[in-house]
Amino acid sequence: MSNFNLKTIKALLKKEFIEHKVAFFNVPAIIISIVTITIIFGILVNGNEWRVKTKYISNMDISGFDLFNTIYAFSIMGWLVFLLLMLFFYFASSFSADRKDNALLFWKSLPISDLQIMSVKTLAGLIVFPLTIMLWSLVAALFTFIIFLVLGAFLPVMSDIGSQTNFVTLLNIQGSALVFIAITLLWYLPLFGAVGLLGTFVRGWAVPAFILLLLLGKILESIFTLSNGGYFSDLMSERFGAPFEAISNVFSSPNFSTNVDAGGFSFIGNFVPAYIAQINWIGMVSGWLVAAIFIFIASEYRRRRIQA
Amino acid sequence: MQLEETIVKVKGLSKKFGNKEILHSIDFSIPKGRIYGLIGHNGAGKTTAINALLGLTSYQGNVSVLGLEPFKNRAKLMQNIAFISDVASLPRFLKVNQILDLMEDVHPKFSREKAKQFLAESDIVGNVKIKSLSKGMLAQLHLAIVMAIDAKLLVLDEPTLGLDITFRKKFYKRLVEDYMDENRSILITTHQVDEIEYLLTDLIFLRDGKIVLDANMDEIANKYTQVLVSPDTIKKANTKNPIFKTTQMGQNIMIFEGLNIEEAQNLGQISTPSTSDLFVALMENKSSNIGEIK
Repeated sequence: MSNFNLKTIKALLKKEFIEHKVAFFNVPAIIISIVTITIIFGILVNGNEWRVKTKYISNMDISGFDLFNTIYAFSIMGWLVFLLLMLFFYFASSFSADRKDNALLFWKSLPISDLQIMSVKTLAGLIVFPLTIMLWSLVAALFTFIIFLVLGAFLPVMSDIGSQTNFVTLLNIQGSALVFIAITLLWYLPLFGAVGLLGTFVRGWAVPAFILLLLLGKILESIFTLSNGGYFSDLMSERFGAPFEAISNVFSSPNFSTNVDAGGFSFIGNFVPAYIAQINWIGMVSGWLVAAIFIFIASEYRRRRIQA
Repeated sequence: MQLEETIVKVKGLSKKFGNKEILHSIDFSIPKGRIYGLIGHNGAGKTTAINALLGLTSYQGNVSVLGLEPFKNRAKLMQNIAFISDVASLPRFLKVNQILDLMEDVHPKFSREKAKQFLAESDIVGNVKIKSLSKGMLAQLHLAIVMAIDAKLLVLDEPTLGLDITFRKKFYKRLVEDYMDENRSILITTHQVDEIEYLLTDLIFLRDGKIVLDANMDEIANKYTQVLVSPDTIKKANTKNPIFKTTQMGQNIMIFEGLNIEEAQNLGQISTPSTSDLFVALMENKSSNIGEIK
């Protein structure tokens, strides 16, 4: 009888988190600390300079509250880019990480199949690490909020932030971001699977190998078709760019209101269906199938070819 | 009989790496309640044979461990098998407590209490990263983890390699006193063969991928005789076809196979050859292709 149950999955997810804690926990903590400390020191040491140089904000027709929400939304995009980069490197290394320190024999001594281990690694990349980064984005938002409160003391236009910001607004932004990130990660799953599969073959060379294969595909297609485009190029362009194109379409749509403070959950209520409508779901599901195939091949390679 | 229930059954096990055949159609079986020593030179095929039993490598032939084909059922098999193939194989990024947590959640037959009991006598503390442990501590931790698994088969491939004699003695003592019972079997490979001789019930010698001896210790004692040959009987002793001859401090020592006890006593002072002497005898005797003692 298989021993692969929820307790096992949780234990393996925890192991993945501990193993990659530096990238997904320590690095964001360091980034936030450095930025916060720099701003605090900037205010403390160069308060007058700040007042002068940020004076134009007061002249703009935006409130501190709007500015905070805009910064918050952009910072989430920044965290998403950070997450995507980190996940790309995570998948490139994690599929072969168990071989580090000769530990593969230990992992193989556990009553868990190679496919189960690879599946949990994928799950960690899709759930644990994105949630960790989302948590950090909330912490960053909190720090931004505090900084705005401090700035509000000498930039009067920003003083409204304390009274206007409410929990529902944050939920609207964070919830919409969560949906966007979840769909983006699911869309990128075959790319993660591909770099993971390469990682099982070539270990630390997975990222260069991935880039090389993409370039090679593009060059071969150009030679074959004697043109700059083609099926492979279009496929890759869509795979890499679709989530961002979709969100751009949503925000540029005349029917979509970008007002996050329109009342209740109307922003997220408008955003989610509008964003989902932009997704190519056939492409999404095909991507999952391709990713499943990549993960299965990687697990079989690990089972058959990686000698103890 | 309950004790004779077979844990491992191997028939015609062969393994090739490229064109090189590492194992040449070997047969053996391990019943319940036995401690087997798998002995051979480096490159004899010991680790390959063990990897086949553990489902870590593909092979040709029929292998059944606890009724399962290992390569297809490694995960399932590992519920009832514990093994150490390399003392340094624990993941270094975890802390001691974290690896115990992991084992507790992942392995249905792991007992944290037992592991803690085994660790109690060591200097290992829970809140320490595995990478900061010394080689000896690492081995102690790994062995504590493995011995805390209620397994039917324990496979130890050079478990004490590189460790000092005190620790080795302590480990093997503990293995017999605290771990071994009639429901388990143990398969050990080691180069320090004399150290484990007293705990073995059976021996398998591998040479160049072939089994040259597969027998229990009683059979070995009955079949092989070591004689400290008196100077006046050397000529006569040589006519009895000793499988091994050596001189130590001016004394002639010969090992005979199948020589009856009266004949042996007439040649000199008799004893049962030690495992290491028998190993050297059978490894150096190229004509020996003894296989299983019938």
